[in-house]
Amino acid sequence: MDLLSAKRLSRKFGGLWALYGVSFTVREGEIAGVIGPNGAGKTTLFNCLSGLDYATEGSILHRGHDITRLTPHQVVKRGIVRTFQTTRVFKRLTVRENVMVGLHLHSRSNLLYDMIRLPGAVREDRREAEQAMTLLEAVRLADQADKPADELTLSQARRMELARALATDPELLLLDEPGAGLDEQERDELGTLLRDVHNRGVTLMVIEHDIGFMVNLCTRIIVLNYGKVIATGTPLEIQQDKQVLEAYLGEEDAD
Amino acid sequence: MKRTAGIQPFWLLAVIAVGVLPFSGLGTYTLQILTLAGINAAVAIGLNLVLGTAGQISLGQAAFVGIGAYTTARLMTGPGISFWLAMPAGGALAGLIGAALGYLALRFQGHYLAMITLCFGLIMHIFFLEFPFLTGGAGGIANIPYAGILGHAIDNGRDALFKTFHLSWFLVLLVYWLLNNLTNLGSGRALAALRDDPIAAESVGVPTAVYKVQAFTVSAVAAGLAGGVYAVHTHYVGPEIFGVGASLEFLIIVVIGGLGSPVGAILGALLMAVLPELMRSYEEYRLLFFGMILMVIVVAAPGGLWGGVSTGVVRICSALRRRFGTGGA
Repeated sequence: MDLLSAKRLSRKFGGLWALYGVSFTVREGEIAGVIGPNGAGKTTLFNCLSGLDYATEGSILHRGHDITRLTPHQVVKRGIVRTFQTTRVFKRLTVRENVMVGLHLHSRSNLLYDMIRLPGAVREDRREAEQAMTLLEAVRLADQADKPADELTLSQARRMELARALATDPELLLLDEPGAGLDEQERDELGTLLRDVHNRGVTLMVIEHDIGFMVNLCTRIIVLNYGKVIATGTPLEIQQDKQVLEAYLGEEDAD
Repeated sequence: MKRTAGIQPFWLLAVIAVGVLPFSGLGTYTLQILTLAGINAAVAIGLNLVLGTAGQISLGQAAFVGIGAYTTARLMTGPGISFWLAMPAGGALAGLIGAALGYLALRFQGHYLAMITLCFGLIMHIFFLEFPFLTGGAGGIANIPYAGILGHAIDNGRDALFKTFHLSWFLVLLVYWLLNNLTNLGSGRALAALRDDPIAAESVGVPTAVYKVQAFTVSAVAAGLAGGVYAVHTHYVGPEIFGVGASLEFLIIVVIGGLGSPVGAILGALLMAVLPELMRSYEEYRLLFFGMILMVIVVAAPGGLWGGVSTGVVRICSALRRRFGTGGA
């Protein structure tokens, strides 16, 4: 089943095409990778997919429905959620509360009911706190639950962001450089975690620079350069693709 | 987490305290000061929701107080409607206009939002001046009758059974209860997320637009209700009362008290009411003095009075713990 597809997606900034004619499909159950040199348009792609930015041309389809013009909130409602390159934590909330914000999408909480402290609202809140703990346990952050979110290390904050994204109960997770700033061991742990998430039925689309990491994780890789797709295929195919090699390593020496 | 079974002792004490305080020998003048402090506190708690909790700039809060005050005054003096209908009507009208301002807030952030809300305040001020049919123009509306309950007039006088002090501070308790309830529940978290990182909030499923409008609405209703109480306390409303200066004073109250803290708003309002009394001879320097306190707080103690108090309490507790050892895990 085609979960997400882009058809000739293009985004122009002033005179520059950040994305041009980008087309691809992400199938349900895949782990799709997006790689490319810096400035290739990877984050711009995610911005368009998640509704944060709008496409100049082209369309994005979710299970066949056109979602090109949806707001981020509407996109999340459809089960597509993204994380950011720089971790965005809610500083004034604890780790648990951060994750609980993710649960807001499916909760029936309501300003009015909360103000008058309706017993149903309080019960809902308790349920959410437990759900948040379960998610935190899955990313091994349960012991940090009551810490203010801005006191976490980078690796912990990344895992919290992941838990928060999972709280929205997504079917597709867009991860923008989840491994950035992590050391070798943390990256390995991240890979295991992502595979865990995938096994629970979440389709993943990951942007990363570490080719080795991607080759191990992804079932299919899309390569971007200068806003265009220059190759798609299995990790093995990508590693042997001439255009990809050129983009990353520069022109080959004539032999 | 707090248990909700039964009424907590804090609230029982608070209600009793408010009920009994006016009869404890305080003079009428002191009661007047405290009543005004209460009105300001209710407005400030509302403003704190928008400014502190949701992180949206609003420089037009006094206009909502004016809307509530004028509505109450007009309904009571003209058609002779009871205070108990007129005041909620004022709150509701203020809320409606607050919602409209909230919709505007969706399109603007930061400095632009500050300007929009400032302009809104100015527009309302002009409206109060230029529509004598509705608002009495520059002369305002005078001789607003007393609110009555069970046949008794509500007044801070010595013989009154029900005081405007009661009206004012029960309103404070109500607004405080309602808005403080948000703190540990979903909406409060959503508002905090909206303040800390609106993009992340939106990207994780929080309908930030809905919450912005709701914050402005609730804040305006609180201000409008407080305005109604003001009308039956001073028995006069005029355009000069609800201008930009007043809006800035509410801002100062919220920031000095502690952004994001309903308790802080109450502390700030009390400070703002009590301090001028202590410096009677320096009346003209009042705003200068508060401006200086504001600068000091922003630079040195961003948590405001309440932040200082709670940090102080935390520090004292840890110092005590270190001194006397932990009493067991």
